[in-house]
Amino acid sequence: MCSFFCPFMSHGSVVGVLEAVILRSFGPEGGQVLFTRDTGQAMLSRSGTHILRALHLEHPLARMVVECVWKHSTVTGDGSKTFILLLASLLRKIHTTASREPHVSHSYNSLEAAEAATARHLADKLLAFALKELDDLIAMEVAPHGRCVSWEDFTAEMHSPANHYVQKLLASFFHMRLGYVHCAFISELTCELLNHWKCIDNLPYFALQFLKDNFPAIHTPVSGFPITSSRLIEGQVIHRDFATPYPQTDHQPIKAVVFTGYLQPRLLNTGDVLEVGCGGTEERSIVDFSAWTERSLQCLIANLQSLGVSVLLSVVKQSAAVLALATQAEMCFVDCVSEDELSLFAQLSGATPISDCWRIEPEHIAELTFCRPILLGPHRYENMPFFSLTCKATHLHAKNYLGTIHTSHLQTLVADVFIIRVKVKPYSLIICGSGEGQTDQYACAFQDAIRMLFTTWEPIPATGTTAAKRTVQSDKRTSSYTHVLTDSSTCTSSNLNPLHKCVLQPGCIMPAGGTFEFLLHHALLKLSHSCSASNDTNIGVPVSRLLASALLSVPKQIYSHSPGQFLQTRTRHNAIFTQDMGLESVSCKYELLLAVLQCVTSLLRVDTILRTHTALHTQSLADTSWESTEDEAEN
Amino acid sequence: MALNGEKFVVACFCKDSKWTSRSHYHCPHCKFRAFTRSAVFKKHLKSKHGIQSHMRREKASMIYKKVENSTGESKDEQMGVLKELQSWEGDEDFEWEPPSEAEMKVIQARRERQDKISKLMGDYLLKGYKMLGDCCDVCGTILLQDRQQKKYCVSCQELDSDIDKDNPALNAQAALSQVRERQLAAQSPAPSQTPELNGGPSNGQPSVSVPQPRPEHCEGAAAGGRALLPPPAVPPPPAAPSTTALAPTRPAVCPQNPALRPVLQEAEEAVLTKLRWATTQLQGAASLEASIQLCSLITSCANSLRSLKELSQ
Repeated sequence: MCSFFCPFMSHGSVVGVLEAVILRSFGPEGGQVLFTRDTGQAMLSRSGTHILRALHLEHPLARMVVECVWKHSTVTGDGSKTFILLLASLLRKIHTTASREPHVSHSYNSLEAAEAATARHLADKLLAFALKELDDLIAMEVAPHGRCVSWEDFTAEMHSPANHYVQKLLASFFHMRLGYVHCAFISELTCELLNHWKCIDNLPYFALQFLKDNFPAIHTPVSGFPITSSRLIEGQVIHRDFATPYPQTDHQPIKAVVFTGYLQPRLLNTGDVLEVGCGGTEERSIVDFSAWTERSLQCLIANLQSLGVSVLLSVVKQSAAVLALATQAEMCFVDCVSEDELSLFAQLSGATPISDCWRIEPEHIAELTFCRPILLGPHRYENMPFFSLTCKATHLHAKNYLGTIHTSHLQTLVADVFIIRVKVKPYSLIICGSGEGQTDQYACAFQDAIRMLFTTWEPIPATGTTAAKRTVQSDKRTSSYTHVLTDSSTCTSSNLNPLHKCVLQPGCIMPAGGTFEFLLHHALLKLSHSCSASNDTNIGVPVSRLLASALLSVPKQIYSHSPGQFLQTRTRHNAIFTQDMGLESVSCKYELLLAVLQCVTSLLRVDTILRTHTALHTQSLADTSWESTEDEAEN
Repeated sequence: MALNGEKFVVACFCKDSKWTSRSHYHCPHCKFRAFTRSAVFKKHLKSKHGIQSHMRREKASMIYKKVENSTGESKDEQMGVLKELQSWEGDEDFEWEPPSEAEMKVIQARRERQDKISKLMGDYLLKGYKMLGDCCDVCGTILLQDRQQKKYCVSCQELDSDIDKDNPALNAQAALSQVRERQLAAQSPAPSQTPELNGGPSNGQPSVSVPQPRPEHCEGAAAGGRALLPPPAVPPPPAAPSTTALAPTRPAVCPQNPALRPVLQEAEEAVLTKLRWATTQLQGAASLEASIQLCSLITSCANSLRSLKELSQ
C-alpha cells in the first residue's frame, strides 16, 4: 500500500531524531552512551558510528543515513557526529530556502511538490559547487591559517618539535573518542607504532596505507588488563597456537613455509566418486589408498626437512597424519591461520604461499630470526592447552605484565611470534582493555586514528573531480609535496608544483573547536558577495551562503555551554594555536563536507516510500546496501 | 481561513488577546474580537459579517484523507468539493510574501514542537525503542515500537496536541472558553471606541484597557518587542457557574473605560471578592479536582492583584 508523505518533514524529522540522539555526546563536553545487552554486558562509548549502529532503526531513510555515516567513517575514521549535525542543519536550511522561493519554472501539482523539486535542485547545485570550487576555497582561505606537517616531520624522532604536532593531533582525536585520561598514553603508543613502521616503503603515505589495510593482523586485543598495559611487541603475532609441540631451536635462521591447501589429499571430497575394487588383478580398498597418501606425505616431509624448513604454517586444518609426521620430524606446525595474517606474513617475508606442495621453490621459503610462543592474557579461545612462557630477558615489556599471570592450567590463547629479517622490523600492537567491549573500542579507536592520519596525508588531486576518484596515481605527485616549508609562516602556493595551483596540501592541520567551520563560513560569505547574481539565475540565493550558514551549526554545538565563547571565537579571524584546543585535519573536514552533501542529494531524491508486505531483500541490516534501499524507496 | 481569496487570517499567538499561549484568530472586521476555535470564528464571520469562508490547504489535505477513509453517500460530494478546492489552489497564482509576525510565531511554535518531538524520540531510541517506517495516522509523526511490540506515537501520547486543546469534549478550559465566547457573541455588539495603541505607546501610558487585538497591532507589538500591558483580571460574568469552579478565572476583556483609578479599584475589589469566595469554597471543598482548581483560581487572582498593583504604581 502506498502512503503519501511530505518528504521534507520526513527527512527533517528522521535526521532531526538522529541529531537529538548524538547531540548529547557531541563535542568536548559530550557524554558517553552506556550500552547494555540482555546478557548483561555493558559498555560505554562516545563513538558516533557505534551509537548510531546500535539503534534499532526500521525506517529506510534512517538506515540510509546510518549507512552513509558508517561508510564515511570507514574512510576517514572520524566525524560521524559532525556528519549528522551538518546533515540536519543543511536539510533545515534547504527546506527554509525552498519554501521561501519555490522553483516555479515547471508546474507542479501542489506546493509540496514544488518545494521538493526546489530542494533537489538546491542540493544538486550545492554538490556541484562543492566538487568544483570547495577545495580551491579551502586551500586559499582556510589552509593558510593552519600548519602543514610534512612527512619528514611526521616521521621525525619522538619528542621533536615537529613530531609534537602529530602527537597533539592524535591526542585530541583520542581525547574526543576515548576520554582525556589515557589519551596522551595512547597517542604516544600510536606514534611509536608509526615510527617503527615508517620505513616500509619510499612513498610517504604508503606506510599509513599499509598499516590501515593490515591493521587487523598487526594488533592483538587482550582483555582483562588496564589500557596502560598496552605495548608494542617486536615481530608479527599470529593468533594461533602450535598444533605440534614446539621444539626448542637455537640455530638461526628459522625457515618457514606457508601452505594454502591440504597436504594429505583428502579421501573423499564432495562430489567425488571412489570406485573400490573395480578392475585390475589386485583388490584395491580404501585402506590401500590412505596408506598411499601417507607414504606420499612422508616423502613431502622428508623433502621439507632436507630444505631445512622447521616451521609450517597452514591456512586450513590439516589431518592428524600430517601433524604426527611433523612432530616426528621435529617441525612446528600452525594451522588455521587467518588469511589476513598470512597475507601480512607473505608481504613482510617476501615468501609466497605454496599451493602445490610438490613444488617447493626457494621463493616459498621465508627466513625468520626467531619463533616462540607468547602468552597474552587469559583469553578463552579453543580448548587448547597453554604453554609456559619462554620469554627472553630482553623483552622486558612482555614479561612485565605477563609475569603476573601464573602458569596455571587455564584455557589460554597462545600465539607465536616471529621476526622477519627484512628492511623493516615489524612491530605488533598489543591492545589491552578491561573488558571485551572496551578492548574492542580501543582497537577501533586505534584503527580510526590510522585512517584519519592516512586521510590527512593522502594528497588530493588538483583536478576538480570527486574525492572518491582518487587513485594510486596521485602518489606520483607526492614527490612535489614533500618539500614544504614547515616553519610558522603560512604555506604559500608558490611552493607548489606550478602545474597544480591552490591544491590542498597533504598534512594540513589546524586548531580544533570550530576554527575550520568559522574560516570556511567567512570564505563562503566573501565568495557569495563577490560572485554576481547571474551565477544562480534560477535560484536567487547563492548556494555558498546556504552552506556558510549551515556550517555554523557545528561550532554552535561545540560552544553550546558558553555562547559568549562562541561569539568571541567567531570574531577571531586569525587562528592561534592555543594550547587547550586540540588539532584536527583539514582533509578529513573536506571529505566530511563532500560526504554530507552527497548524502543530502541522495536523501532529497527520495520522493516516496513504498511499504511492501513482503521483504524485497533478505539481507540483514548491516548488509543492506543503500542501493537496494533506494530501489525500495524510489519504485 | 481564506475569505474568498481576498483576505486570509492565520492563527496568532499574540499577547493582545486573552489567550496568550493558545493560537487564536482575529476577526479583521471586528475591532477586538478573537476566537480560539475555527468553527466559532466561521460562524461569527457568517452571522455578523455575512462572509463565507473555508479552510486552507493543510487542513484540506487532512480532511481529504479522512474523507477518503470514510464511507457514506455524501462521500462523493465531499470529494468533489475538496477536489475543487485543490484545483482552485493549483490555479492560484502563488506569489510568496514574507510571513507576517503572526505567521512567524506559528512557524516558530511548530518548529519548537518539532524539536521537542525529535528530542523525545531520540531519548526513546536510546532507551531501546525501534523506529518504524510508518507514520502516525493522526499527526504524521514517525512511530516508535517498544520491546513489547507496542506502537507508540510521541506527539499524540506525550505532547499536548495542537488540535485537542480546542476540543471542548476533551478540555475543560476549552469548554469554559466556548461558553464564554457564545455569551459574548450573544451580547449586543457595541464595541466602544478605544484609543489607538499603534503608534508606540510607552509602558507608562495611563490606559488600563487591553490593547486592541487587531492583527496589525499584534504585528506591531511583536516587532517592537514592547512589553504589553498585562490584562487585568475581571471576575467572570455572574452567569458563569459559581457553584462548581471548573477552571481558574481567565483574564477577560475588560470594559473600555478611559479612567484609570476607579477601574483599577473596581478590578481590585472584584478580584478580592473572588479571592474571598474561592477561599471559602476551598475550605469546604471535598473533591481533589475542585480543590486543585480552586487553588489555581486563587493563584491567578493573586497574579492579577499583583499586576493591578504594578499598574497603579
